[in-house]
Amino acid sequence: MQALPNVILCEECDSLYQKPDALDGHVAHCACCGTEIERYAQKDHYILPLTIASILMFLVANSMPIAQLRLQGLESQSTLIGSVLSLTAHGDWLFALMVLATTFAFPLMQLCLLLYIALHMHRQNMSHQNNSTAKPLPYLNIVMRIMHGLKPWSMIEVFMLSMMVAIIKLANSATLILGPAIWAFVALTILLSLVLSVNQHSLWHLKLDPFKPDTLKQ
Amino acid sequence: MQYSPPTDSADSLTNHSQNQTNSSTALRGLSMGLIVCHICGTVWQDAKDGQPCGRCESQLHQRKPNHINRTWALLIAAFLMYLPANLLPIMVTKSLIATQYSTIMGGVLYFIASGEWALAVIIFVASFLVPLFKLISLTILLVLAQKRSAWRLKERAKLYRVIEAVGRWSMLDVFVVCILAGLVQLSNFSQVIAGSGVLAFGAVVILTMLATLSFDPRVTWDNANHQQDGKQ
Repeated sequence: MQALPNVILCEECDSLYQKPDALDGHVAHCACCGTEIERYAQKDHYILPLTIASILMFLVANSMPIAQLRLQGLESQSTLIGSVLSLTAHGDWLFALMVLATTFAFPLMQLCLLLYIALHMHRQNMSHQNNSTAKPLPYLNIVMRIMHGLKPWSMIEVFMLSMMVAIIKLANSATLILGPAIWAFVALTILLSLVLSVNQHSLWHLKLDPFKPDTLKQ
Repeated sequence: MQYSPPTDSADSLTNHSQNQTNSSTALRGLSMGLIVCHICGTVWQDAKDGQPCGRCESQLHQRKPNHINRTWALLIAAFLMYLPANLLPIMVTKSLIATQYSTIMGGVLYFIASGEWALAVIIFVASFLVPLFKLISLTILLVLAQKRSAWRLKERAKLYRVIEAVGRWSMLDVFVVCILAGLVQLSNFSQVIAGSGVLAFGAVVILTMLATLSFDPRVTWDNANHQQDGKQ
């Protein structure tokens, strides 16, 4: 078993390519099926600030109310967690779990793992300007595997659109005061999509990885 | 960007590429005994199926294990859930005078009636068209892959990528019900409760997403290549 560092296999049609020279900001597509096979976003300095901003927005989005409803002197307001809890009050446990996982738990896990990677990267950039002394990130393989698994199931951006739909639905029949969480969710969607637009594979190129293809031969 | 053999790799690679120079098809990992790791993208030579990747320790697979059976099972389950998802109410609105049950199409009709055309279109597309489109497209992709068809390979690859990208947006209606149920809790005066259809609908979305993930689009190209080899 031997690693070939200079080739790419397209993951959707299995075509073989020689790895093109790294060009910052360029995207390589498979000539056979058109899938994106490589994205060169080696500038890693923005990952830490974007991750921290995302975490702050996540906190705001989940602690502030989404909206307040007023109708005939009655009032009600809710946060995301509050909505989930009101589902469990009527016994919809599975439904509540589904929403909680896709809009709260999975994005939170993604953010924590991103912070772990970004902090290490930052520390490394600060202490060693030359890469020869770069220290590998412990548990990088597990972190990346979890990130890979979480990606399809974290649905902040879908939740944002649903909030818009829900608001318009209610605005017709009651007085609605928008809460700060809505804007936090909008910001979080933008920030998260920026951080996660980094190709998952390219995170492996960020000099955190102890693996050296040339030296590893079995 | 055609493959040219890397200078430091084994000789066998070079031989393979010389053998295939006459063929119009691109070189493929399967015929060259190469496996790509899905997690870290490393390409391995002489790796066995099921062996852990030397870099990230995830299991290597030439093709996703059992992909046809798994995809069929998930797809059939999704088809079965599609009926209750559309027939059962996803939302129950209780007020002093009446209890109103609304289905997915009911929500679309509500927005059409109130003149919110853009929203009606968004919900109609996200909750009705996208799940149906996914179910039908995946069935077509599976049947064609099993029949080893070489019909419209590029379009099929594109179709798969579209299914992969739009799948998550069907959760829209599920979240809308959740938000409304959380917000509209004005004691007995007006109250929104999730209906039983929403669980079935969520199941359709999750099952089709799982089916999409378990389908291996590379099989489409494998079979087509076999067929082309046979013709030559």
